[in-house]
Amino acid sequence: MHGSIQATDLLRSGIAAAKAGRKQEARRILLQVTDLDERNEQAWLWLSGLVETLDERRICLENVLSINPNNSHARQGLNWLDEQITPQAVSQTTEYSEYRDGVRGRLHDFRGSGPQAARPSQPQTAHPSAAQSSAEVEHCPRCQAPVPAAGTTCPECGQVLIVACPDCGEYIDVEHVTCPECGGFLGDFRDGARYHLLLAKAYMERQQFALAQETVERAETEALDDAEALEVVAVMYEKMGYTDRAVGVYQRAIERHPESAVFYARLAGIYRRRSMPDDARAMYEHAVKLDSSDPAMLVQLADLYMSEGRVKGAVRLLEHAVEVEPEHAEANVMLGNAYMKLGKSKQAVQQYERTAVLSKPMSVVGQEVHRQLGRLRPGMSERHAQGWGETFRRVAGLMLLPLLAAWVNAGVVPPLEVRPGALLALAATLFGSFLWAFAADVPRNDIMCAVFGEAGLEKTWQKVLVGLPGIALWGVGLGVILCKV
Amino acid sequence: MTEQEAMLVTVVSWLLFVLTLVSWFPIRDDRGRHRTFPYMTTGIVALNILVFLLVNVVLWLWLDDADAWQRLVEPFVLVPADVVEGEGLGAVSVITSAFLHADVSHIAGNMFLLIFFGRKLEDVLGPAKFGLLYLTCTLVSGLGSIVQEMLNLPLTQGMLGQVGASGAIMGVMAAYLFLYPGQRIRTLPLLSSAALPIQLPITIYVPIPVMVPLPAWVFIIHRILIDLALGWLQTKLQEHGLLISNIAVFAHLGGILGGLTCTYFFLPSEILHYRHRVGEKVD
Repeated sequence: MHGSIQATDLLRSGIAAAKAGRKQEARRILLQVTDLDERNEQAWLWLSGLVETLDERRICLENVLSINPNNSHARQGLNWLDEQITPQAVSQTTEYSEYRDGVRGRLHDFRGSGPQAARPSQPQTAHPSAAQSSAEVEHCPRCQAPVPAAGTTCPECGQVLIVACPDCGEYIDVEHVTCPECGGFLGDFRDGARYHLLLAKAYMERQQFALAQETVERAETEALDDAEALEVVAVMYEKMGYTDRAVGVYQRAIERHPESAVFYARLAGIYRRRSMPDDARAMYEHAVKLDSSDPAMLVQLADLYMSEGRVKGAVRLLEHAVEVEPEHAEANVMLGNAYMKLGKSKQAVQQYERTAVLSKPMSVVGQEVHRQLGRLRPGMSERHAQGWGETFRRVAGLMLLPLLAAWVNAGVVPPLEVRPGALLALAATLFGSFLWAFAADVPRNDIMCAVFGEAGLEKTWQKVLVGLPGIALWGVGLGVILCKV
Repeated sequence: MTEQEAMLVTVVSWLLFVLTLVSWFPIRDDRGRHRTFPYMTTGIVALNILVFLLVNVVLWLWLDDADAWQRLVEPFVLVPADVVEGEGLGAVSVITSAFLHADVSHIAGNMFLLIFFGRKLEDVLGPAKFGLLYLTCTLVSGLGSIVQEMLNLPLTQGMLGQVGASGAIMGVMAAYLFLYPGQRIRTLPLLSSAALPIQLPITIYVPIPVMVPLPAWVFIIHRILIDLALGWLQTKLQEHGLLISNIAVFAHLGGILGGLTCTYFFLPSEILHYRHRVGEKVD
């Protein structure tokens, strides 16, 4: 297992060296790979493009085919090698004309399949050099400058000519929008930096960090005037841990796009993480000056102010952030915290209540808000929550409907004519209201505690026992009143 | 009518014109989400629509006779004079009339407001208490309507039948105001044909495509001012034999009073408690 991992790492290094044009080094590394794992198909395939002689190349390709008889690249490479045999050489062996016809036939098949056949094996092959001699000339897809068939980048414009498919790892021609091997989407190389960023993201997702880094570097070189792409480049550097590079990109981006607030804000974020508050503040303030409509930036600067004790400044920023985006949970909770620091408990509670509605209870913000609300709202006293005042308030609420109904049926204006049945019904609803209120709202009222013990109506069956007859009595009473009995 | 009275009527008429020229149609508030499904609000709305379809469509088509239809529906309409004289269904007719509506624009406007404010209130009160509050507001608004008809309107003398849930809905709106007075409500202004001196078969609304964030108290005060101005004009002009509107404005005002009162009695104790205590400094 360990050997396999080592071989894979070496293979990656070897391929990188080959792509960078360091043929000697690549050859050495790939030979090490074959020493470790003599059935490594990719190593033999790459090696075939790096060896000195045609015989060596043939051995490499035959090795590939012995490992995987279906490897089309190797087969095509061998075909090409066959075609390189001179007529003299063939005549020395025998049956030249037969061989020539065969070669011509294959040549015809090979090159006669349309315009794409101009670079026969290159689109599919892991190494264009494997099957073609260095003397053969291709053209860069971007600037059309001639490039050697073995080249991996255009010497004129620097355009990369082959890329690794993030899904299958196969090296393929940059002109392919989808991988011919696995069908994975690659993008259009004409998109420049964005194409590379798309690939880099895919490499990152698949933890192919060396490839990702290399691709982000390419994107950086191509993203000079594309502010959005530059931002992504820098963010990817940050993700990969290359903060210095990210700073460099942001600084260059600011030089080219001084009006873009986002670069200042991101740079400020790095400065803040590096404990450089003065630089961070200057950057944030500049960012907010350029664009005061971004609540995230306002919140970040406010957070910095809060950490420096400049609470009033933070409140101004946060109030603006909440005005810009009323549903920004973080701005609301921070504003609540700032109000608390200023001793404005009422406003703080309003902010926390607002945030409690906006955020999920189990989120970080939600938990913070509920903690703060718990502090601000000490529990009600037992006397307050379960006393007679609360009981009468509840009963009064339940009695409103029967009383109003009785009043309407009595004729509304004096002289009121209240029937005896209605009076009895009102008494019934009053009693029922008490029972209902005890069961639903004040289960630890003095009476309930006296009857059911200290805990009052604790259990569900107790609540049902008291509440259900109460509701029934209330309902019957109301019915009697409405029916004008 | 004296010259001074005439001048006052003109001023109040102009005030009413200005107030009714633009209707405020609530679109959303920042309290965007409700925690549980508003069963009671939905149930009341569904019941209103069902009754409307049954009475105004099915029954109308089935009977095909205006007199027969009126005889069948009349007992369920609130007629203040009948209530005072102890005739008819009494309190039951107050409740049933709140589920009857005159036309499509009447029910559509009422139900929209009920959905908008009702579900927010139901979130706080719970479905059972919200249902009780709605019924209580219905009765209070009916009482308001009866008092207005019997004491203030000599021309109709309480003989005019009244239908609609607007009194109860004004109560729900008032309860919302009680809970969230400063809450901004994003509203769509609508130019209303109700302000025009001519009476159209239905009220026509033309939207002005601008969102106005109105505080809840402005929304309610606007409604109260309209009701007060219209109520005063109705009373004043009926004294001189003029019937200008059959809107039960005292029902609206009664509903508002009922909503404010009921909310106090129905609110969970914690919310009432904290309303008074949040101003105190805790640290």
